[in-house]
Amino acid sequence: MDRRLLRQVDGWLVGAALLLAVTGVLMVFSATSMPGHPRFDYAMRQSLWLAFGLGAAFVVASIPMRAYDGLAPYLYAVAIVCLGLVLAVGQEVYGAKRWLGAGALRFQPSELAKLATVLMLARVLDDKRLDLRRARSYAVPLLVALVPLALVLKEPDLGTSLVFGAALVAMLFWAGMPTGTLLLAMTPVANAALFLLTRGPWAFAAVFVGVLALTRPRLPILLLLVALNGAIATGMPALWSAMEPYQRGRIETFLNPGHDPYGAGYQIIQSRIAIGSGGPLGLGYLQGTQKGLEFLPMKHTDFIFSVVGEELGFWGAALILVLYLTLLVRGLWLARVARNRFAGLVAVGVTAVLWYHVMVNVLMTVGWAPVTGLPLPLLSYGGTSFVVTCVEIGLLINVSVRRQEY
Amino acid sequence: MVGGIVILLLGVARLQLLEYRSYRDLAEKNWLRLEILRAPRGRIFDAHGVLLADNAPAFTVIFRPQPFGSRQPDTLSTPASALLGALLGLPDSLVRQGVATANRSGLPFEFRRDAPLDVVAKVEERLVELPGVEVRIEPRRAYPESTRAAHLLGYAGEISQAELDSLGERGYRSGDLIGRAGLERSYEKELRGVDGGKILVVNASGRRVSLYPEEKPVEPQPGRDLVLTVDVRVQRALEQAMANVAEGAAVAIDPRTGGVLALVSRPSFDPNEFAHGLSRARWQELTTDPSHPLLDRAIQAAYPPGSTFKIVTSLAGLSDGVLDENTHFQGCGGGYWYGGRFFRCWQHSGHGSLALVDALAHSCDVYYYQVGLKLGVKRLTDMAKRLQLGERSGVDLPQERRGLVPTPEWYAARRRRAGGGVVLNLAIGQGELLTTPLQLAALAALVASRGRVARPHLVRAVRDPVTGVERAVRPAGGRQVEVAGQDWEWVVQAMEKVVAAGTGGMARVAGVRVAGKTGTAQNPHGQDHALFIAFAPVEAPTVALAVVVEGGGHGGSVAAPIARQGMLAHLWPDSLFAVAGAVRPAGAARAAADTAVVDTALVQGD
Repeated sequence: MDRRLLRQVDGWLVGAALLLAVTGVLMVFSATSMPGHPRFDYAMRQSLWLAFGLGAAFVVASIPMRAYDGLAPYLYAVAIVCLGLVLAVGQEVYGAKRWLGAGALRFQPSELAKLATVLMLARVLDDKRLDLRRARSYAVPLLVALVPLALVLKEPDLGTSLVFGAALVAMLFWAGMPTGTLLLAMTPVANAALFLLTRGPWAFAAVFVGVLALTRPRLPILLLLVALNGAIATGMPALWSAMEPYQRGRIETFLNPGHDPYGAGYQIIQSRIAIGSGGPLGLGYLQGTQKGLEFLPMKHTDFIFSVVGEELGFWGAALILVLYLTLLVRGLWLARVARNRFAGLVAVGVTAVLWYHVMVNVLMTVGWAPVTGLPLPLLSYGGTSFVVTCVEIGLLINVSVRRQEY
Repeated sequence: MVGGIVILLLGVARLQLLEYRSYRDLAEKNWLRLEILRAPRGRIFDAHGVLLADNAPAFTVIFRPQPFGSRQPDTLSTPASALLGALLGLPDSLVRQGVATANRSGLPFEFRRDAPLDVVAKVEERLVELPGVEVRIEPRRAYPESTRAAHLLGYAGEISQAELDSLGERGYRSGDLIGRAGLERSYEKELRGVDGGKILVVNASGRRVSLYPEEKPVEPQPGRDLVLTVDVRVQRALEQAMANVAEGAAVAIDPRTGGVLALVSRPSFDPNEFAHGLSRARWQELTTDPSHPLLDRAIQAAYPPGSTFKIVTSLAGLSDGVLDENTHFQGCGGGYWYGGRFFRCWQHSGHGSLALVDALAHSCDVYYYQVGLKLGVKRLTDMAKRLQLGERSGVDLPQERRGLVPTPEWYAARRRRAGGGVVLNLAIGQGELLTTPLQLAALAALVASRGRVARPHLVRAVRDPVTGVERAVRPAGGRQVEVAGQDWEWVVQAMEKVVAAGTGGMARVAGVRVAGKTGTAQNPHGQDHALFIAFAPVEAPTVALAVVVEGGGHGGSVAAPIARQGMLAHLWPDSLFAVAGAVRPAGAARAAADTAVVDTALVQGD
């Protein structure tokens, strides 16, 4: 990167990301250490990942944006093949097949697929001739997002699979899909999801009425939607009660994969106690007590935010959330100011992926979402996911340094 | 998106600003503890409801470390650890070590697994003086019949760290039992229950204060019960008949369904040892024992079928038109010249010229050499494959061996000519042929049912222990082996004559038509293996068996009387005479044959 480009780097973005990543190393150290028994191995490895991630972000930011446009189909194809391989020959860990390779060389193809899908969607939606008022324009973007979604769902990894949905919705919206149409198109999915979460039709009914009042669709479309959602609303409870208890159990574990219901409930209670007991100011760095006990088995990975909450208190947790907010706001701002449509779409897609992870992870730690096993970007301990997040930040930096280019 | 982050802020604020006090209370003054309620494994019953695998309570003495920040001392005081050591019969240093380990890891340390009741009672009495020490009650596997049916039941052992890593979040926890062999392994999914749990609020000294109000206790769900096809009376009779057999196996099958009635492997072991937890030394002893007691010889050992294979040769000859019931070959003068070599008949004085039924009844090798030569390796091994040899039967037990039927391709792959010398050996069940006892029993069952394939299986149904609802386990099968009906009848007639007037006389059961075939397989490592396969009653068979006695000598004198005991137990299960006890070894064979006549006469009047 030459000096001229370097000056264009968005300081807010890089500052927030760096602060988060360094906090991550410190929190991983605290989470794995116990009073009087410091442990350096996890923190050391996380530092190595950080160094590697910085390099990766720099490389990703240096390559001209156009290259990604051309690279997208190949990357996407590789990602899909890897996802297929995982299902065929992947390593089973915790009852789900998510890993490929072995030992130090193993990685989660779903992480690669997140990147590849965002790039591929950006390429597909970048088409000037694309008219999002016509139904058939949706076929290709839908296919691009649903193939990895289905493959990851099969692993099974519901939490990760929905990230493709989040990226799709955000990028379609950015590409110019009318808001009303987008909302209406999402109603059947929301219907089924809300039923499974609340076990009743009323939550969705309220949402549906709201959406209809907001969008006022034409009569034939209105009738079609009411019929479709009516069928789902009446069909789901019947389907649910017709199922054998073990089938229901399977769906419950599917919504909440890899954990027996009791164990997961227990983890969430522990996480809430850890965060709640932190209070406004926290117990102080390295002073947390909950992490030392036999609960929070994933305290340095999925439940790192609980340790933040306990040790750094509300103000610390709020600061972390503000850093994420900065990251997201800068991402959206970059999407707006980027002159190149492909770059803008990439920025939106990446921001949506990051947002989805932060939301699902933090909601889980405060007990408002099921345990899904999604890491907190930049903070959680972990190789593949950490480096991929760095690459995503690298893409945002890339957009920022070339935002003047067409 | 911004809205989303605001929601997160609200969520955190609610916990840390509004509900802060109650959570700090929970974290500081009290601790939550997850108490796992272990689910008992499913039980295993024989066909008539006899309990073969059960659960019994086991008491484990543990030390639970105190939570961090607790004001309670986190080590046992010197007098306390001395007391515990004395009660448990452990050296003081070991107790201290355990306490230290627990405090370092934060996980409970088990001092004494499966402690005897009197020790437990003493510890319970002094519990007040032993802060952090608890007695945990968990279901342990118990096999009321001890070594009976050990190989088919298998055993369950404590889950290893490697298994935990791959199965961890399928609900397995450290300390869980997992099926390692036999039905315990193949039906692990059914037998395993779902652990429950409750969250307790405990005070600083580790004593229970109350249940955590926000989460209801979850009751453990016991695993599903298995109902077997096995009849423990037949199993017992065969085991007793084989009490003097050092190494060998016997299998009995119901030819109508493929249900296994008994499956014996000698020597046996006691699965209760595994339930109590095996010491490293004992494990070493079991695995390095030259007689391999853990090996299930019924399915995991393969033997040359010897003359029992002549049934296959006969069927191949009949169905390929090489011979019919009247075919006579060159007469037997004690051997047969082929390719410049003299192939002996077991009867050195010779049999003379025989037709099929007598050739099989007297197991004339010379007759079968000539049938083999006419057939060639391909047609002979084709029939063996059609009769399900050389393939896993698909029985619901783990690690079944395939055996070996050496086809012409098999020889070609090893650059050997599948010529006349080879087929001569194969025709009488020698050479490279290998079969498991289960395959031989299945072969007898196949002849008994005149060619209807029924996959051998041990589990008839899986039962829900709470509702009692049974789900039948129906193995695939029902295929018909394509051999003409009349051909079966000739072989059955010949097998009946084996017992009535041939080499298998010691399997005779008065008043019942028994069909059988003896076999004596050459053993390169020592004395010949004795084999016998049989089924009865001929007109409507309900039992088919195979018996293999390693190094036993002649099939007719050693294996046949064992099979006879199995048949008696099946035909008159509650008769006293059906459980006559051990069959005497080879030397006393003649005498045994005499007594056999006596007790069948009595059985008739039963």
